[in-house]
Amino acid sequence: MNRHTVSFTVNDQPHEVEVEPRRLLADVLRENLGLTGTHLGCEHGVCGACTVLVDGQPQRSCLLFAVQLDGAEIETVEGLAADEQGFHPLQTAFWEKHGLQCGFCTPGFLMSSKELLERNPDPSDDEIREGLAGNLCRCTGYVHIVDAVRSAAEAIREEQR
Amino acid sequence: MKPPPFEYHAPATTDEAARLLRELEDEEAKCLAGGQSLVPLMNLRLARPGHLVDLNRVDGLNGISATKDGWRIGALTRHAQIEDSAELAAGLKLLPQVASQIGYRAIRTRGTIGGALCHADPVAEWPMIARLLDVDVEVVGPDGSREIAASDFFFTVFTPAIEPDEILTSIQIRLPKGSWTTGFSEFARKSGDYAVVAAGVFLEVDRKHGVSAARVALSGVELTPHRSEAAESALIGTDPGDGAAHERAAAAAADAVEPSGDLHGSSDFRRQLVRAELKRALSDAASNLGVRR
Ligand SMILES: Cc1cc2nc3c(=O)[nH]c(=O)nc-3n(C[C@H](O)[C@H](O)[C@H](O)COP(=O)(O)OP(=O)(O)OC[C@H]3O[C@@H](n4cnc5c(N)ncnc54)[C@H](O)[C@@H]3O)c2cc1C
Ligand code: FES
Ligand code: FES
Repeated sequence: MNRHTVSFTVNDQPHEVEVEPRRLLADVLRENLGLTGTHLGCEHGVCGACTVLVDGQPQRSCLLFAVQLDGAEIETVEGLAADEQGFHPLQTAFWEKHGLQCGFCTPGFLMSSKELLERNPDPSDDEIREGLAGNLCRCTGYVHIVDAVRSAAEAIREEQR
Repeated sequence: MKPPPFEYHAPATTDEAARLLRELEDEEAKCLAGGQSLVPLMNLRLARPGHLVDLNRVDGLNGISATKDGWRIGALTRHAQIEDSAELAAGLKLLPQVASQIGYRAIRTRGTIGGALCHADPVAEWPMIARLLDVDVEVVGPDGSREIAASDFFFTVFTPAIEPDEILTSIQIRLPKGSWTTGFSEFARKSGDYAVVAAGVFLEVDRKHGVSAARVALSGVELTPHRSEAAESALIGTDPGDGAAHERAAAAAADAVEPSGDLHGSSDFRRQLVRAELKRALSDAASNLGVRR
């Protein structure tokens, strides 16, 4: 039978799933595991809505087969606020700065931004725009998203001081 | 859309991978590297391989190492690894510079240099750089390994000159002994988009006689990466920092190409871009001179 058993963690929780090879990571997250925070826009790598972190790296969950990910550590938007203490500073900043309207693109922006700020804790506006060029938003016009990421960067630096 | 069904194989060695590719050739087996070109094609149902041979768990395909006369880059080395490599930033900064222009970070953390060469997209960066640096491409098949010169590797659009049961394992970059410099520039509609036209230059420079050897490569003008002999010969003997010489070489390159137009740029526009981007690449090369990069 053309099915494989794969184990990985999602937001530190271990999971074992049985999948057909063609099953995309995004569909496993959404349909097998009920983690519908990860959105699918284009399903060919362009829009960034499905971006998650795999072993700490931002990746398109629409371009990965779950069968490839045995042993991987996956982080999704649900993991950002996983503790009881409330929102991740990025989520707070997106809320306060109006970094979203319909919210469809937001999970991808949050995950891309998280990794961007880990690599570059104090980015210029140009660096934020460049770093988020792979995420499309049809609503906001991006200005408030850039504001939100800049503000989150400050909050995170403050927190770590 | 969702990809069509296929069977999945995850070999641990290149030999095993090559054997699988040969055994399953009639059922359209394909290698899976970063999947950043193949999986979109499968999701759009433009590719329907019967089997995928995943190279991501094959030992020894990933990594950057210095050799006695240059660099060896494993086929599974991700664009982001090249972008982040401190060794390359010091030794051949052209490669991190180019890597940072490929798609977005989430594409670069997964996509591989070997996959980009095998995909052989006429507007992609790595095929053009492979032609610029005259790299040798190492492939392994069920009957052993061979090296293919970059000038023989790109057969036509999306078609590398390798057999269906061969695996690209590494590229070898050989650098000349004397003093040299590199330059690069590309035009894309937005940051991370495929370039409409990209230009790369590699100049060997003699303190007394100026440019002693020149290589100029362009993407986005033909079905395979283009080497501009017109620009190369125009540069010989010039001062590498001479803007008028850059202008002449760039005009010669633009005159010599007949790009076909498409959605992303008309033929004329592409020819203009050749001139503009080559000039920028040449001034980039001039500014990199002296610092051995
Ligand atoms: C949104 C987006 C933007 C992008 N932007 C750019 C860009 O600006 N510039 C650019 O150059 N690219 C761009 N890419 C493509 C990206 O660089 C790919 O990573 C690359 O083209 C293919 O590499 P891969 O490792 O992902 O290969 P895969 O998709 O896994 O494979 C591609 C093809 O090569 C074959 N193959 C792969 N590796 C080997 C091997 N070692 N031996 C034999 N055959 C092999 C496969 O069978 C397949 O046919 C973009 C992709 C996306 C999704
Ligand atoms: S759904 Fe994955 S990038 Fe658009
Ligand atoms: S908020 Fe609607 S797509 Fe970005």
